Amino acid sequence: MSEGTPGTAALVPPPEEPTLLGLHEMELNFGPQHPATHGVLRVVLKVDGERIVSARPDVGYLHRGTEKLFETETYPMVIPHTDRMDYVAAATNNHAYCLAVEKILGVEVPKRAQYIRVLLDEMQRVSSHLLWLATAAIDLGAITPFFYTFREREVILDLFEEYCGARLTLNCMRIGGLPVDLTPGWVERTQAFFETLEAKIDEYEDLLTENRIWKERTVGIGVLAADRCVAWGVTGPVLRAAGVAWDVRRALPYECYPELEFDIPVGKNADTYDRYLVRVAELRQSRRIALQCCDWLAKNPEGEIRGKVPRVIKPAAGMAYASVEAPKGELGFFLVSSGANKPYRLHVRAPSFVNLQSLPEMIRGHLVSDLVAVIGTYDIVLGEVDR
Amino acid sequence: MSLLDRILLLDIFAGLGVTARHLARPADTVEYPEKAKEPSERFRGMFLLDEERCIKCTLCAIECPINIIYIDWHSEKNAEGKAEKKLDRFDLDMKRCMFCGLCEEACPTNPRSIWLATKTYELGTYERNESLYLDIRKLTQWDGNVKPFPTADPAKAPVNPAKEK
Repeated sequence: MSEGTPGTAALVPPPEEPTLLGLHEMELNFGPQHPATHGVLRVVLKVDGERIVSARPDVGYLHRGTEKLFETETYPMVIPHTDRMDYVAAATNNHAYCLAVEKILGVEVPKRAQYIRVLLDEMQRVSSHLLWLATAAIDLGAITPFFYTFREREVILDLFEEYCGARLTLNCMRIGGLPVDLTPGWVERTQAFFETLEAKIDEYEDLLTENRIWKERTVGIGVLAADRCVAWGVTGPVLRAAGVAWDVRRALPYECYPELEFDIPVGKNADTYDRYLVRVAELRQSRRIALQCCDWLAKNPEGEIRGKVPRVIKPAAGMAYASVEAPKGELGFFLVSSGANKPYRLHVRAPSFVNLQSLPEMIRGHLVSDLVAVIGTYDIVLGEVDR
Repeated sequence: MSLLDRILLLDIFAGLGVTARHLARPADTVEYPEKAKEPSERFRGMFLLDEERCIKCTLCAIECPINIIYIDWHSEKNAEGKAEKKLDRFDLDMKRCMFCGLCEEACPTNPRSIWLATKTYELGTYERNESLYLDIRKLTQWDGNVKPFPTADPAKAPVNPAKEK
């Protein structure tokens, strides 16, 4: 990614007079055990003093062969494995996979199931962004947001546990709908939580938005302009912080999103600080969507939650691609069916993996300590990068 | 940033104000293991099997994504002379289980013969194969590996659904 590709030749600075040690550049390994790499990411850096000349992300330390594993499992058995890709946002993973299979089967999902799915997605987005806020802030030395965001995240995880029985690896969607209906009182509790969330988000903003230490570490760091984002295929908050209002929920609508009102927050400066602002604004928009879903579900407490799906799922030979707006960006599943009860091929377009490719360009010229901020700003989950 | 801001550190105090507001709040955490949070009713935890209800269809073993259930049965004539399936083995590799609950969903009997909603999650052991490679003897006993959740009120403790017919 660094040496061979055209365009990166400019990264190598012109030869200079040798220093005392006879070296200008030093190769430095960052990770894979470094706590700020959010998992097992290894970045091979070429540093000139404290300044990064080039960076090469070395992925694969968490590779589990999930895509190959998909080919050995029948369609319903794949769902628990998708939980384990982006393990802090399992609901969106389930959703994207189920959408792909529903597309190839031509199954209609009942309205109530659509609203519950969207509500689960938005709860997952809030929980994922809260986790991002906690870890990104702790990487840059702000420990307090960690405690506050985890308090709210705990409420969401409890709600997930009450609905589907698990907190992290949810396995909460099925092909054609949902496994179980909501428990009594769940919608009211979810609504009550989202009512209080707005004040909590203000609290996080009090801690960080105007904080001069936070601004010193993030403003102007890791700038990736809109055209470069598009060139790298970057999606999600990183792209929106560059001013491109691309959101799969609006651009390629799925489920009941066209019926819901929400804005797409965009940034201006395409730096780490703007990405923080975009994510905080997305928390507020997710809250807005979730409250609309709660209203709808409170008005429609009864209804089908599963479409007409055959007992043995055997789609006709063909292909389908379905994507959702995951907390990290566009998460897509490309499914090739050969007519058997197992996928012939199931490729995952993982947002973390695609976004991470732009790291060498984003970090060039920055200091080593900024690398921590930049890795944090991507919101990568290595389970999804390596799969 | 104006000179006044530089001297008064207003932005820092805004953050400290949030911290100060939380000083008097009660703690949100509990002291595990002295206190434990009770899982919800649907919480997917340790298995429980009812041998009498099980019809030995092996659907749970087929549906398991990682093939950790092993079932063996033989046919036997009962007192009325009818053929009846008898379980020889019902093994579960608990070390690899990911608690997805697909086996429970696949179970065709009504009520189901497998439960994950036992509220048991303390499954750590010192001997990995003895305690976590489970056979039918351990899977059907409520007080073996499947421990009732230690709720303060014994009347509220979850009962063995297998014994509740």
